[in-house]
Amino acid sequence: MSSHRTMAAQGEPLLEGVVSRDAVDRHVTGTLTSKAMLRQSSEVSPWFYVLALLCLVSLLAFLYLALANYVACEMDETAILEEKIQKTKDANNKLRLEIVLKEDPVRIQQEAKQMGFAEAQRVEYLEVVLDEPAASPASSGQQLSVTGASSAPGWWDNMVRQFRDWVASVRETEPRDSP
Amino acid sequence: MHMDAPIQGQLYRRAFALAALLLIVVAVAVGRLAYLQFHRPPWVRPNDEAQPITLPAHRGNIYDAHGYLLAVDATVYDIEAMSDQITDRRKVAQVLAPLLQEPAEELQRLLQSKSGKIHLKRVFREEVVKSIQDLGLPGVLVIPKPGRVYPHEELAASVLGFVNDEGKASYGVEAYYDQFLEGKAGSRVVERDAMGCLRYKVQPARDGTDLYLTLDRNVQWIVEEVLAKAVEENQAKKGIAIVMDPQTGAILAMAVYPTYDPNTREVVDENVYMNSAISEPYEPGSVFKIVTIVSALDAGVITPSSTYYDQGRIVVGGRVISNANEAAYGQTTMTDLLAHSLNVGAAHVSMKLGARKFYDYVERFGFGQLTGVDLAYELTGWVRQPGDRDWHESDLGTNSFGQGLAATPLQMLCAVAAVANQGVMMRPHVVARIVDGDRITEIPPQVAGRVVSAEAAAQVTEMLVYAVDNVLTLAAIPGYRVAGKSGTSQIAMPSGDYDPEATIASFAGYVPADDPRLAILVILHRPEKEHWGIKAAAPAFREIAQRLLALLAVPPDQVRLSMQ
Repeated sequence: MSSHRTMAAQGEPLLEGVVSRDAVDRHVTGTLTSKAMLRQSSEVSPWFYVLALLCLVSLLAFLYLALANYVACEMDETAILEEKIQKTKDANNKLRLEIVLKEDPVRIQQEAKQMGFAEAQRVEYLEVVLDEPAASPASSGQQLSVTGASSAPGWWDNMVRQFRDWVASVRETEPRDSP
Repeated sequence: MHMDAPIQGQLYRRAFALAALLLIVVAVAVGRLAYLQFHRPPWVRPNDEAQPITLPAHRGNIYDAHGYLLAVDATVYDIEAMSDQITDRRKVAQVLAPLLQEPAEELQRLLQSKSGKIHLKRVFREEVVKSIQDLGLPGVLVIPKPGRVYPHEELAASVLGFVNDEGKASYGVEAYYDQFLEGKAGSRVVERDAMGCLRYKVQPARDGTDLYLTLDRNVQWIVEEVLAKAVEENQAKKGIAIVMDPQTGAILAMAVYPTYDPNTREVVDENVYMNSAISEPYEPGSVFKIVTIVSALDAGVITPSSTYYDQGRIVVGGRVISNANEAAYGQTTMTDLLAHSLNVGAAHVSMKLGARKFYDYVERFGFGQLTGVDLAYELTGWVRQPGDRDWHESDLGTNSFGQGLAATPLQMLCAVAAVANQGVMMRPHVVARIVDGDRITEIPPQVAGRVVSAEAAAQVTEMLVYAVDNVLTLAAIPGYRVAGKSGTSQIAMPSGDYDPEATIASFAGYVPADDPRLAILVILHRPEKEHWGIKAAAPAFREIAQRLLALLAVPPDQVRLSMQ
């Protein structure tokens, strides 16, 4: 009501005979509600601050816990992986050890003896003659026709020659080796 | 002026509800935080906060030149016995003896020695452990623990050294390269930051690097086998053998006998841990004449055909020096001097060279200094120099044939190898490369310096070949030209006099003489059966050289030269 009076006092024109009572009431009520809301907002604002603060703290706490949980999980996983790496390395070393024990010269020597092998009393070095580069068919044919050489392939000649050399070297060394 | 009561009440109720809800959430969160602050979180393991958890680093492996494993971290098993729980000790000893490779009497003595827990032996072979466990002997315990395993047991023990139960590396490569091999342990520690919050701090472990040696397992095995046989046959107290590639300084084998098993380290005398090849200087005797003669040749004071008149005796600094066999050789060439190993001739040459030059060459050859080999506890030996208080003029005479000075076996072999390598001395080394994951560091051969000219070295080589072909024939190898020199030195007693009964017999040489692949030194301490180097040490030299030439596929000179 005081507001109505205030508005009248300010000289706001009222529609004479046209303005209904309802319209006036609606206007008055709306004006009253918005004023009340404004006053109420100024009255509850500390609560909103508290609530907002609580929300913030909750959010931070949640984030902290989530992060701590994440870090803890990661650390746990890292520890598990580290353990796995250690175990793998241990297993690798164990395998290496097994391999080297199988490769032990004493063991190999014993097994070789059991298999009937004996240590070599003499080492002989043979000259290895590699095949000459293959000549073209035309040139080789020409050579054969001119020289009339053996028709056996080159590798066979080489093998025969090496065998002869070996026999000769054995004959040479025999008197020296005999007691 | 005032809000409608219903509206206001509704607003307040809603606000309170929301606030209460949030308060509950916050209370839970804060409560949880407070709990975590004052109690150990579930993911923090016991004692994490008290002390950091150490993440152990694997010690690097050691391999030979061809990648055969020589040392590795693995599980070892201590075989122990609770003597009180064993009723039939004799039977237990007999059952365990073949598995532990120990005499049954020794095990029985151990079991009867005291009550309580008795350590029988440490083993690393799984099959042995399984066999013992399968026996189910009451009172016999198998205790696994992490340790260092040397799978070849005694092989190359003097070169490798060992790591003891406390993780301390001792002797050899293990000690010298400890900082590379041991790696760096990591840690995992829980800390509180400035806000009092817990946080993990992880430092991952860094494993040690692997070492690949110049040592060849098979060469080492042959050398040890031959050396052990030579020591036993000659009833010597000790034997030392070194094989080196004179062109690179790479040590292919280094053996000391008697030796020990670095896995168990059960020895009567701990001196056996010392690598006598680098840590026990000796008087090299006539092998040193190689140094005297090549120095004089390099200085130009003699030639191989120079002569002197050998009366069987010579006086140097007031001291009478005579030949080992007391004989006089008359007019003698330098070549014959070396072949017959005449002390009088060597003293004559050193006097002709003069003290200043002689000791200058001795120093150039590295005597009295460390060779720089990458092994722990190398000693320098000693050489008295002119100007030293205890040097005497007679030292010039006695030093010329390797008495009155002390060199380590490795120093002596390096000097011989320098002559073999055309006068260029290489720094000896046992590690060929260091492997750290994908990063490989090769250790290249290092030239220590030129000690004599190539001409002088070649002349001495011919003289040494002549010596082996004509006098020192026990060292000759059919098909190969061998350059070598024997040595028989006396052993100084604490009183300062020489022991009249004991000798050190040695032989040093290289093969093939014109393109040496192997420089070999064999030393036998106090051999009782044969006292002379040529008789005691030369056969071992020959056997080592012959077997290694076959192993390394070095063809006879005729074949090799025809291929060139």
